[in-house]
Amino acid sequence: MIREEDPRFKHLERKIGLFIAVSLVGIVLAFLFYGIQKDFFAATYSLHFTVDRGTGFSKGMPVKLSGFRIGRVTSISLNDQAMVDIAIELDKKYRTWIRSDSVVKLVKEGLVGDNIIEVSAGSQDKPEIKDNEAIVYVKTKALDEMADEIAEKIKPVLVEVRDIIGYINNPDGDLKKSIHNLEVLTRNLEGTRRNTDRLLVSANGSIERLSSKTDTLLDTASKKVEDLDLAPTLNRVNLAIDNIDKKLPQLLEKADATLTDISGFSREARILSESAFPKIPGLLSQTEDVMLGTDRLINSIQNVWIFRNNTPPPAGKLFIHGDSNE
Amino acid sequence: MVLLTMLLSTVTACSITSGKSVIRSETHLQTEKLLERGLRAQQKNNIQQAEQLFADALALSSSIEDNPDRVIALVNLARLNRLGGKIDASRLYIDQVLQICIAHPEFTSEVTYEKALVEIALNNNTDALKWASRALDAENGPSKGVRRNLLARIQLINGNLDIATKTATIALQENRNNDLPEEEANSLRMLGDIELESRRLESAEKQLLEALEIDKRTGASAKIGLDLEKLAEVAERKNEPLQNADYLERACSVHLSAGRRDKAVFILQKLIKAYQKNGDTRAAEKAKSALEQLMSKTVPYTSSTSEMANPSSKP
Repeated sequence: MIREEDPRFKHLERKIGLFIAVSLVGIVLAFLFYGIQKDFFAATYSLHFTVDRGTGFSKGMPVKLSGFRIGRVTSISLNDQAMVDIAIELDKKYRTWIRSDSVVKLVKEGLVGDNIIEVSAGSQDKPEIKDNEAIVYVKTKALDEMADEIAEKIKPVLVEVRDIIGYINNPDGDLKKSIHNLEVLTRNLEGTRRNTDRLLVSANGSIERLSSKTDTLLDTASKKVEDLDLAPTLNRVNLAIDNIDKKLPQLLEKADATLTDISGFSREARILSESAFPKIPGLLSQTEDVMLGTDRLINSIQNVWIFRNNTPPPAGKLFIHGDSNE
Repeated sequence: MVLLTMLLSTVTACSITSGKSVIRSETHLQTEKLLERGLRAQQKNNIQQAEQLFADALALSSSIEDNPDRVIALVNLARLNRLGGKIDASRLYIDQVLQICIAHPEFTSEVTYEKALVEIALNNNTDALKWASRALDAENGPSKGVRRNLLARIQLINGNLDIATKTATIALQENRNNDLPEEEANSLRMLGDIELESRRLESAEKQLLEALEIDKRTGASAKIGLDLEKLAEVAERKNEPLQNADYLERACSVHLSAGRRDKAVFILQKLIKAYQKNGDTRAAEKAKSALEQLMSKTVPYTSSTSEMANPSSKP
């Protein structure tokens, strides 16, 4: 029996085996790649927290630290208090950043991005959070809540704006009236200018008349001054000056003599004071000593047995009299 | 000559052997001088200067822990402030003294007496009575009558007329024995006041006239005014309107002359009512215009203001 063999089927088993092996390797590699991508092979640890509403959370949603993915949500479940327990799984190599003061919050990546859980890095002086321990959840405001809040704040402003616009548009309002008055004023301004022009022309004529009258008045005054006879007055003034001329040298001589006397006197006074002043502090000190000595003497005398009994104690005498009826 | 020498020797020997000689330091002497000068300034009515001198004395005595002089300076400062109407300052000073005088029982009477006066000024009559009793207990000298007068005054304020009468009567005797005419007059005025309250008008008038006579002798102007006011009240209760007006005129004149404008205004108001009651409208009108002038004036006393107080004497 002739066995006819198709050369294409030659080593068919080996080829199939190789194909299967390559496929298996590909599948394994793909699985490995997917597993690495999804952190299936990374060493992880779990943390959990509780929120009052599960809205926005989903299983498998990423957990990020400073924008880097470090874990995922592993479970979401309703607890006995109708609150939502959320468990997260984090890569162990980031454990050093997750401390007891770290917090998690639900945030959006960008304005329209997906929800993620963001973990804040804790202080290095605080202890690390251990496996299966709770982490603090901080509630962030949802977009609708923020919108409501902004709307509440803007509402009075809008009302004010509406009122202002209403006030501006009111035909009987102050602003409209003021604009109307301004318009009337502008219209009347031309008439006012014409009146002012007329007034200036008439004022010009008046000034010319006044100027001619002033000229006449000055001429008259000049003539009167020329007509005045000042000779007798000037003669009297001359006589008085002559008298002063005669007496002034004598007066000056006397003043000179007086000043010389004063100068001599002040010189003597200065010499005297120069010699006396240095002695004054000493004299004062001596006087003080003498007075103190006298005080001491009197004090001693008061302590002599003869006088002592008759001397009343000073303490009582030094009180202001305190009247019982004041 | 021999006798004289012997006498001198004896005096010298006695002075040497008469125990420890007291040598006061210069600071002590200065403190005492300041206290004396302060006292003189107060007597001359230079209150500001007196206060400054007592404050200096206090600083100096405190610098050497001279507690007796500190007590005197503080009591005087408390008294000056109380008489000047600065009661809070007065209380501060007297409370300081109370701390110091524990170690100096010789001052207890004076200090507790001032404390009682401060408490009266603050209307704390219960405390005042307590301190006045302590002052009386601590007093061993001639001021027993003074302390008792204060006790009687507080009892009178509290309305305990019987106790006040008994206390003031004993005080009157003590003050007479110790020759304290001002306090004697105080006792008499208090007794007169009590008699007036008890409607024994004749006796009240007698006591008050006696007090007035003593006050005139000692020249205590404010108290003369007070006596005259009380006498006017007695005359009013005795239904003697002319006598009442006369006493009021005199009281007003005394207060005005001493520059106590507020008191004068108060009495002038009473005087107007008295004239109106007597039917003397002319005098009432004059008194009214005098009152208006007095209330509008800020100038001190002049002879014309004195005349204002006595409108009925004018033609």
